Amino acid sequence: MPTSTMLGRGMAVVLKSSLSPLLTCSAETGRTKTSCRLWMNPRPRRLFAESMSLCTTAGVSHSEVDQDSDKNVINVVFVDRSGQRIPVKAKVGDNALHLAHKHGIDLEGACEASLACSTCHVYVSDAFYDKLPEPDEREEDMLDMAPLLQENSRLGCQVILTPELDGIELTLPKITRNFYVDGHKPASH
Amino acid sequence: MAVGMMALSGLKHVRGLMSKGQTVLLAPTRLCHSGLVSEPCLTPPVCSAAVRSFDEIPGNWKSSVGNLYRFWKTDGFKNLHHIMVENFNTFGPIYREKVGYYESVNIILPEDGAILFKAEGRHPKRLKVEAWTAYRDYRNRKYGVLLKSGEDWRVNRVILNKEVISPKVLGNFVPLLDEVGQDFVARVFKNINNNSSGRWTADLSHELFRFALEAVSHVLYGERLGLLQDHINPDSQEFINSITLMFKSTVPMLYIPPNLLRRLGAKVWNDHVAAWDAIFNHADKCIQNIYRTLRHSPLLEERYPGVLTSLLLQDKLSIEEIKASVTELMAGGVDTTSITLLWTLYELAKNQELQEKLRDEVQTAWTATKGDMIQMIRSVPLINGTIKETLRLYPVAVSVQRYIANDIVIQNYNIPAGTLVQFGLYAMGRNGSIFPKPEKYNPYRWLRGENHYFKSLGFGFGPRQCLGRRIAETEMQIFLIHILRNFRIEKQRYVDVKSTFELILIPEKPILLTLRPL
Repeated sequence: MPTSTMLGRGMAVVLKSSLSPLLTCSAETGRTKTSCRLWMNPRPRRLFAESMSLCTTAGVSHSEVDQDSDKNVINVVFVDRSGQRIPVKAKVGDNALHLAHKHGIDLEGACEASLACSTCHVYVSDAFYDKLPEPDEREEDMLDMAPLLQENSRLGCQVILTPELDGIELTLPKITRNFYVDGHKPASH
Repeated sequence: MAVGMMALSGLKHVRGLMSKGQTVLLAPTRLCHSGLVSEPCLTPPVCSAAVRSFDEIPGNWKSSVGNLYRFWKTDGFKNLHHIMVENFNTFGPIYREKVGYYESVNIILPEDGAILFKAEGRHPKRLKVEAWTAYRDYRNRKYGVLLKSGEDWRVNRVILNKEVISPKVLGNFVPLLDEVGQDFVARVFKNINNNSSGRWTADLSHELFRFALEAVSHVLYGERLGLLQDHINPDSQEFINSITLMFKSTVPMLYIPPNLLRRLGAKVWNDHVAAWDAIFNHADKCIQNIYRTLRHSPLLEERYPGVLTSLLLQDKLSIEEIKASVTELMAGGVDTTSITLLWTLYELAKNQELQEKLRDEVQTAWTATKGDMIQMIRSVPLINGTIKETLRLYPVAVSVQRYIANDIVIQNYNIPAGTLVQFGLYAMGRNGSIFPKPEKYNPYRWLRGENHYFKSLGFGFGPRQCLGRRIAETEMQIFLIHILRNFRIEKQRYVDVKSTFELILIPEKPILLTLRPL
C-alpha cells in the first residue's frame, strides 16, 4: 500500500531537519521577520493568526514590562486548598492559571488553557467578580461541569489580569478531582 | 460515607438566586425503581446505612454468555440505548451488567455523573473499543489521540488541544467552514432550480455526509475536496461509505473479542478491516498531498493553512502521530455532525413555529453583525441551544464512559477502581425527572437561567472530551445559520422516525425532507 508508507520514518526526518532551523522563534532578537521565516520564501510575512502568536509578540512586550514595571504588575492572592493565603505579584496580561503554575500552586489546568475542561476552576473574590468580563458560552459550558460550583466560579485560564484587578483573591475549591484528595499532585511539565 | 452529602450540585445558571460565595448543596434526587419517566421519588436516600458492596448492585451481571444470547435474540445490538432505558426503569438509577466480555456499571443521574468524572484521574480512559485497537495492531498502524492512553495520550492531547479545540484557533476555522456552508446553500438552490416544483425533496443524509466531510477536511487540510460538486472523487465516496460500515461493524465486537472473530474469519471482522483500510488510504492521500505541497512550495499569503500544516510546522509531534490523529479527526467528523444536523432539520421540519423563532434570531443577528460570522456565532444562543437539544434526544454517543481511577460510592454502592462506569446519556436525555417534558424538542431549556449541571455531555467530559468539539459546533452553527436564512424546512407527512444504534445513534430509516426557498 504505497500511500501509507510514503510518509515513513525517512521522510519524517527530512521534514524535521528541513524545518527546524526555520522555526526558531527567538524572543531575544524580537524580530519575527528574521527568525520566523517560513519555508524558502524570501519575503518576510506575518504568520497566520494566533497559533504562532508567540513569535510576533515576545520581543516587544519584554522591554515594555521592564521599563515601567509598576504599572504592569499587580497583587494577586491565591487561597489554596488548605486555606492558606499566598500573595504573589502578577504581570498584567497573564492569566490566573499560568500565574498559579509559576508560583507552584496546584491548580491543575489539564487542557493547558484550551478551554476544554474545568480543572482550573477558582472562586473570584466578591469585589472583583463583577470587574471580569462576562464568561462566554464556551466557558459556561465547561463551568457546567465544575465540581463545587459557586456563583463566583470562573475558570482560571480565562481570568486575564488587568490593572483594575489589583488585589484580586482567587480561592481554589476544596477538591477538583479525586487524586487531589488522595494527595497526588500532578507533576509539573 | 454519606454519598448523598457528597453529591454537590452547582447550579450555575441560577447563580443569581444564590448569595455569593455560597455553595449549593443538594441531596441527589432519587428515582423510584418503578419508573424513570415518573416524577422523582422523594424518599430521601438512606445516608446513614452502611455503604453496600459492589456485588449488591442490582442488574443482570451473573451470566455473561446467557446475556449475550438474550441480547442477540432480542436484537440488542441495535437497541442498546432502548435496553439501557428499560434497565434503568427496572433496576433504578444504578445497575450492573455483563454481556459477553463486556462489563459495566451504568448510571443516569447528573449528580452521579459528577462523582464519576471526579474519579477519572489524570489520564482518563474511555471504553476501550477493542475492534479499533485490534485493527491498528493488525495493520501495524499507530494509535492517534483517540486510542492512546496514559502519559502518551496526555502529551499528544495537550499539543492537539491548542490547534484544534482552543478558542484561539476558532477564528481560523470560521472562514473555512463558512465557505463550505455557502457552497452547500448554492448546491441546494441548484437542485431546486432543476426541479419544476420550486422545492427540493430528498433524503438529505448523503448530502450532509458530503457537507460534513468537506467541512472537516477544509479545516484539517486547508483545501477543498470538492464534494459539493456534481461529480466527486470516488475515493471520497468510498471514505464516506466506509465510515458508516466501520461504525456498524464495531458493534458486535463490543461483546465478542475481535481477535477471536479474526481467527474465525468472521465477515464482521473482514468488513471492519476493509472499512478502516479505505478510511486510512483516503486520509493518507489527503495528508500526502499537503505534505508534498508543503515541501515543494512556500506557504501562500497569510491564510491559515489548516490543522495538518500547522501541526507539521510546529514540529512537536512525530509525523506518524500527526497522521494518526488527523485521520481520526477526519473519520470522526463525518457521520457525527451530519446525523446531528439531520435530526435537527427533522425536528425543525416538525415544528414550524420554532423554526420561525430560530429564523428570527438568525435574521436579527445577521442585521446586527452585518453577516460577520464570528460575531454571528456569539449572537445566536437559540441556535446553540438547538444543537444541545438535538444531542439530548439523539446523542451521537449513547453513553460517556470511564474506567475509574479510584474507588467511588454512587447511590450508596461501592464501586472499585478500574471498573468501567457508563453515564447513560440517551436514557438521561429522555428522563422526565431530569428534563421536564422530555419528549418535547425545546431548545429554550438550554438558555441561561436554567440548571445545566452535568446535563449537557454530548461531547463528553473534561480533558478527554471530543477533540473535534469546536470544529463540530462551529460547523453546525454555520450550517444552520445559512439554511435558516435561505430555506424553509418541511416534511411531507408526519412520520415518527426512531433511532437505531450502530455504535453511533442513527435514524432507523431514511428521513425525507423538503427545502423551499424563503
